[in-house]
Amino acid sequence: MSDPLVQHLLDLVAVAPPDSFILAGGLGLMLKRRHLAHHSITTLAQSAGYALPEARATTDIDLFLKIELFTRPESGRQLRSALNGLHYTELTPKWQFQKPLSDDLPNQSVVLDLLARLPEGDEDVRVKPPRVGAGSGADLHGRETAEAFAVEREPQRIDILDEGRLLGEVLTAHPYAWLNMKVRAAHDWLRYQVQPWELRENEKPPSGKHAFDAMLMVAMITEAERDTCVRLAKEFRDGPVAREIRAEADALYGAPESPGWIEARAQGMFNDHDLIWPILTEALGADG
Amino acid sequence: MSTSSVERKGRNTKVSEKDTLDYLREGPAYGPVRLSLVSEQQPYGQPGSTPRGICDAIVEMSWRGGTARYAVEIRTTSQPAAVEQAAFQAQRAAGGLDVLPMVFVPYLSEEALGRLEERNVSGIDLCGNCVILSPSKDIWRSVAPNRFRESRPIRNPYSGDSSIIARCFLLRAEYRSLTELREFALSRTIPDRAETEAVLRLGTVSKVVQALQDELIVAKDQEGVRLVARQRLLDRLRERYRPAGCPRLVGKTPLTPEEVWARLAEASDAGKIRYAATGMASAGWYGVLAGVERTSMYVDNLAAASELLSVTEGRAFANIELIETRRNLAFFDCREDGAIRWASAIQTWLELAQGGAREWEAAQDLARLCLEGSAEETK
Repeated sequence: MSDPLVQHLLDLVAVAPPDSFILAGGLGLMLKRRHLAHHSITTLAQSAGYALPEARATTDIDLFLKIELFTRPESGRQLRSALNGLHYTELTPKWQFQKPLSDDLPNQSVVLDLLARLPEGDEDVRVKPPRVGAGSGADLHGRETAEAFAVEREPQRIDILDEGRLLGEVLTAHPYAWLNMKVRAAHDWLRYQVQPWELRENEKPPSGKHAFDAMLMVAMITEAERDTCVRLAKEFRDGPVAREIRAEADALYGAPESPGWIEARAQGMFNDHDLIWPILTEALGADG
Repeated sequence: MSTSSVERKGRNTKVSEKDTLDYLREGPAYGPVRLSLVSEQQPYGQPGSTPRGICDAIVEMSWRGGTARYAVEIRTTSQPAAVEQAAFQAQRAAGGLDVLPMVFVPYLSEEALGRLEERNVSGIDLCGNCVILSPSKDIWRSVAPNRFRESRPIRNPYSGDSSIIARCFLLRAEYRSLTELREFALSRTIPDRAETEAVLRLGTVSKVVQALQDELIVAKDQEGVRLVARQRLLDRLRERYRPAGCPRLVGKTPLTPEEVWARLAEASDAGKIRYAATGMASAGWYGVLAGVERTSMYVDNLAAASELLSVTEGRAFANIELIETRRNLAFFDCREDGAIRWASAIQTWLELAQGGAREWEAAQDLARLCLEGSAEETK
């Protein structure tokens, strides 16, 4: 095992209630890229003759808790107990945990961010910003993530691979959901460049890496995923957050000289705006 | 080198034997080496008997305070065969006159200089190139660009449709006549309603063979014409291969690959279209490169093929690439596999050899598998 972050994820998958969370973030992207390469799955990039740019993980693991963890809190408690068993300690009560990255790197920590979408319709889950699931009895909260409105729609099971070896499986967000989250994160980075705001305790400033990650995500889309993105985009077209994110995508990536595209290029995205932008707009949908 | 009469005549001028002798009369210098003409048309052989031959000139070389004399054979063409023949005659004359051998041609390439040096024959040219071997085996060598490009019977026998003839020698090393060679080429080319025969005329075949003879790649005699330097032919084909700048369409077809090939085969049988996979797309079939997924093919009518296969243009998730070419080359020596026509091994090798490291490696494998012949042919 060469990657301690992957080992931490495997430990979690082994003890957590099955499919209780959905992996996103940099680690998710990196594992998805490995999965695609390992199975020789043709992505948008490869269909146009490009190699996929490298995905870079940080030391964070971003997990979206399924809303059912708060409606059936016993599974939430089971996950919390698993975290305790793995010697995670709270960094921010109930939704941010940490432990040393490895014995070799005792001064570096792996940080587990628990996130959640906002409850919908008749889902009886309390939101006490920025916490979802406060008072549910699950002993865990998810940081509210409005842009994750589709995160529980058609999540994808991918292999956890390290150095070509299959070590397990994990659920990841569907590219439609993931793109919405990444575009919003990239837009936060852009807003922060223009007008920095005061950060919460343990909150990192928004990173330009999100601008790259969103483009990598488009480059990694398969043809079948593009088609399901189009379907999901149609379904969520009138949602206010989806609408905002489409405008944010335009500001970030609408032209080759747009700031998000320039940042993505600076971080290693191949130079083909004409290929990426139409697929991004297709995947996020158009205003009706 | 000083400005000579030949230089004053200008670049790419046809050079005569008189020009070259005038040049020698002017006493040219090659770096520290100076040459002076001693005599012209010098007979050689046993004294008192009929001369065995006449050498074009004797020159004296002065270098580092010493001198040496050379029997010079002059040629007004720089073709490898001419240089080879001149070297042979210079060696004979030098033996008869007890001097050193030298050839003099308008241009000596690096390769030609190397071959002369291997044979212990000196060589000079009008461009400032030389390899001069002194009696004490000291060597003076200089390199300069060619200023005397020669018009040749055919501009590039290794590219375009005329290279079909050169490629034929990789498939079969010997032909009894040019007619047999032409018929072999035609039999291996998917015809285009008489156009193919018009392109591969006997005159063209003859010019290509002459060019290959000049480069010592094939030899021609009463028995016929045969390949004598397979590796050199492979090198030339690879070096001079130029992919045609053809119109192309990248897009998406709703058809499966099987349906694509079946439709094309039907149209081809009706004489409406010629088609063949590109070399790159054929690499998997030859077992040398995996992972080439897009169907990429040459067709002789892009609009017709695009309509036939319902192709929508666009690079995202493209699954087909159509390249329009009317060259016969793309349709030469195709390998039929049901309705599929794979590119020839030679075309596949050439396209791979133009690619990146992975493709280059595949090209090497393919050359080993299909193209490199027996040891005596691989000179």
